[in-house]
Amino acid sequence: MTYLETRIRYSGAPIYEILHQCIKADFGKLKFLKVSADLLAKGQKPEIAWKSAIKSCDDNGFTAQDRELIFSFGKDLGSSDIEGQINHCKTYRQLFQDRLKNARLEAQSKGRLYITLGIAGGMGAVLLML
Amino acid sequence: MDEFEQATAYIPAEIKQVLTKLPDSLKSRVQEIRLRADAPVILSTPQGEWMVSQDGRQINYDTGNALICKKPEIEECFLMLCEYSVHTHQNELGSGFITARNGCRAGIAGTAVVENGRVISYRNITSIVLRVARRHDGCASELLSALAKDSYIKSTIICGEPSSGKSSLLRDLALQLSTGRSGRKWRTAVVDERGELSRNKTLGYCDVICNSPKAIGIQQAVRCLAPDVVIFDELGSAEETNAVLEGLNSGVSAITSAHCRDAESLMRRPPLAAALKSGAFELVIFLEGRSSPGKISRVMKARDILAENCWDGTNFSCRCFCGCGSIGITQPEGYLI
Repeated sequence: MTYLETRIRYSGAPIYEILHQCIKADFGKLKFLKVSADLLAKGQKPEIAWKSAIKSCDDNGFTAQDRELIFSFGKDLGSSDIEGQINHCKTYRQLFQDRLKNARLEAQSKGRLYITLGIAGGMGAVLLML
Repeated sequence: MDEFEQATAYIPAEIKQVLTKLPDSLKSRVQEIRLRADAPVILSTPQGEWMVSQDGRQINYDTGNALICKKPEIEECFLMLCEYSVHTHQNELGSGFITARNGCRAGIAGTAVVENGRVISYRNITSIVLRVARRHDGCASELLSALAKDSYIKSTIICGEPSSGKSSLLRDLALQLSTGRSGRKWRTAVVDERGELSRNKTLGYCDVICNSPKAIGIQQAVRCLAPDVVIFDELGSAEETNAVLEGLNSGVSAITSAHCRDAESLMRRPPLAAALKSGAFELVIFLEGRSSPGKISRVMKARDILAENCWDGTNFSCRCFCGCGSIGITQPEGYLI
């Protein structure tokens, strides 16, 4: 997000170019960026470009809510002046951070649950063997 | 892709589909496509303004079957022109236009966003005027002998009303001077503030400074590129003209354009009158008008224009509103009756 904000403010490049720069600058793992950048470069509407891009990256481990958030961020990217775009990025940075925090908490609690289940399962197996 | 197709590349699909059905004879004459929110689509030609029917015919009046541009379509067209990256065109928007990637220029009207007394952008877009930029290759040929002297190019202002072909003439001059079609290759720098001269167009062997404010671009060209001639579009405000003159009084020739119909309207614009009086420009070329784009109607010496505006046959009085306040009875030097 910080990278996007900086590029929007200082390079003044179109969104598809900025996305291509993001891919080169170590964000290549986010495959949907390349798909959306390519579609936008062809003149595709952002709504369609981002929807197709997110569909194409089902294997990235995003939840439905994550995908919805990425889509709503992408469809309005480029639709306003520099200040508007910076504010857009800041708003979504906060929303993504919240999602990340929730995902970590979920992973932590699920991790504990799996460990407990593992131990219980192990004890059960030992009891059966005895 | 022809010029009409280039201009319609940024029009939403529903309107574009109808416009593509128009006869080629009309397409080849269209100078502007005017889109207004919830109003008929208008085509400007040298012969007048026309509407388009929903089945793609040229019509005079809206009898209920005219092709209407809806508000969301205007917004869509605006975003398409910006390539869905409004921030990229923020500087242009402050001046009320957008130059698209393919060189097509569009004028914008809507609600201005003002910051510190300066328009920085537009929102709630209500009108878009798409210019169909046409090439008039070779239109500068007859000018070359008048402009090019043995060792220098005469500094020139090209004057004409909107759509009279000023930019086409500048573009062709840049091409011909830089490639040596006049007999000698001139080192030519183009300062293209709006991106209209050079974007997606071939300018021969010119050095092009794009999207830079004119005054800064000219100074940079003069200092860093050592040109024989600097070409730039649309000399306008007083502030801009002063800065341009500062950059030009350095032995480099300049060719530019200005919005005005004739010598009188030229002298009624104080910045342009000041530019002529400064001696920075030697020739003034007037174009015929939007009915014959790129066609020259008159070539005048700057000093003759100055003289005409100061000598009416009996009295010497300044009518140029430049504030010089000159009043006398002496015939100016060089004035031919």
